[in-house]
Amino acid sequence: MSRLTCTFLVSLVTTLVASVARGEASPARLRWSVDARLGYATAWTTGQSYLGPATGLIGGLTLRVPIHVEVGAAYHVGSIESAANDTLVYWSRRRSVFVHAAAGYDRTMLAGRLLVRPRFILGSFFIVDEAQLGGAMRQGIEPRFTFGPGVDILFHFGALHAGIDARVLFVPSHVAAPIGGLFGVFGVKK
Amino acid sequence: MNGSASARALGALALAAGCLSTCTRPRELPPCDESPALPVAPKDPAAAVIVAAGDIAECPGGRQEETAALVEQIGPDAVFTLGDTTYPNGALDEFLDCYHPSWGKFRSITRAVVGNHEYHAPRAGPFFVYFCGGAGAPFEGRASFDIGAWHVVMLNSNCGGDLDVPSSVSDDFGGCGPDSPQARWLKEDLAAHPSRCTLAMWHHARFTSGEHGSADSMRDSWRILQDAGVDVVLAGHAHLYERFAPMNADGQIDVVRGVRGFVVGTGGKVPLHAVDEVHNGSEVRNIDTLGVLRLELRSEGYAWRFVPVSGGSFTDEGEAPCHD
Repeated sequence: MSRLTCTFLVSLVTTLVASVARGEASPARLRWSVDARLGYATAWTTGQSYLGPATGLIGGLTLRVPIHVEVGAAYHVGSIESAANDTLVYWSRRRSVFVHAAAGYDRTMLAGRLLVRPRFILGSFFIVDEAQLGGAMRQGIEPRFTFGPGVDILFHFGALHAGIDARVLFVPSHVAAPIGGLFGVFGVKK
Repeated sequence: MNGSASARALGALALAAGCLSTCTRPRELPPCDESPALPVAPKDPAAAVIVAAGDIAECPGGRQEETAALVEQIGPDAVFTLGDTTYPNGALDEFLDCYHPSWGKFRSITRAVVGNHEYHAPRAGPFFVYFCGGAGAPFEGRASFDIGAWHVVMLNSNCGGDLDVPSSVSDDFGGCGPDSPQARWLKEDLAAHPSRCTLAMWHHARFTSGEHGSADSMRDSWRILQDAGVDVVLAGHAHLYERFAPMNADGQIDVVRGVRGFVVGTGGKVPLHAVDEVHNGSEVRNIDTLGVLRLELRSEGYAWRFVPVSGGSFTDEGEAPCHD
């Protein structure tokens, strides 16, 4: 985990503990949620994709403020490339796991049935590379820190909710290729 | 729709989405049978002609067609590419659709070292498969061969420091430290090939005045070369042409045992780089002319000439003996 992500998570925990200490996050005023995500992400690059279809899980807490904080993980299927001629066969696969923390502001509309949550995301992709050529194979994992804005638009049906999660992430390195993602959200809150 | 049907539909949707992303048709590679083993047999063993350049192809925008025309005009015995063969990602499509139509016509006589941009693709796989063995063993990036009276060593210089190279890449070949597998291999190879004249090549220039700076990670390799009496090192990475006086590993001029370095990052990628501060030992620099380096490898020395693309006026030529 990158140093920035770690710092953000520590700040998050500190905020929550401080809120509880002030009574803001007492059980009666605190709502938790668990969401499944299913969607697709892509990066503006010609390189082999480590994104693509993805599925993930996010756990969140909404304080009275109403600030929403969450942590989550997602698996991106990535892509496979292959090439061959009469004497050589080449194969490579790239995929990734994304872990993140985020904080957002909950804005409810339509008598509480519609929730719009702009949020800021910090996270890290762990990109798994594999390549095979002839009898030789190499693999490795590369962490890549990212950050950026996102928005959840959720419709509530009792304790359940469904909607979309759209996000744009930036990679602060000179191979930075902005990432766009759109996910369906299915979850429950209490 | 009941729950079970919904779950099945969702599963099918996920599978289809996954397949769209991952189930791609294999690309057809040009045949490898035209590519000989690493040794190069020059037309005149007493004066083998090679062409060298790095930082070559980008589509769109690169000027690799112009530099490829120079190679064709020179008609060398071998072509040495000095890394960053394609931009921006060293992807399979870039090699097949961008590099191959230009410099690809020399593939069978090309000996290629791996750059940092090649590692934007998984383990630089497309680079190693495209060159069919002309880049050494897959994923290692080091090899040696003879051409005429000269012995040539190719090294992998991706040893850290580049933001775009995954930190695990040096594990692929063991890194560049003094006791690394590559360093041990280099010592053994040079001891086993006591040619009077030896040339080494890799991507990250040990010394350059270019904005990327000098690669300290290649200091140990340079020291091994210097101790073995190697004559010439070719590199790229800095997008300019630069020639150095014979240098020792610590960056001081040593006309007796030093190694002469050429930086030839002028193979087609634009724009060229600015010079930050002129490095000690830098004898000639140019930052506004694309071109290739023509080297004539003679029995007891070498002659160099920078050949500019059409319209360019800069050139640099000279000759020097190999170490005694």
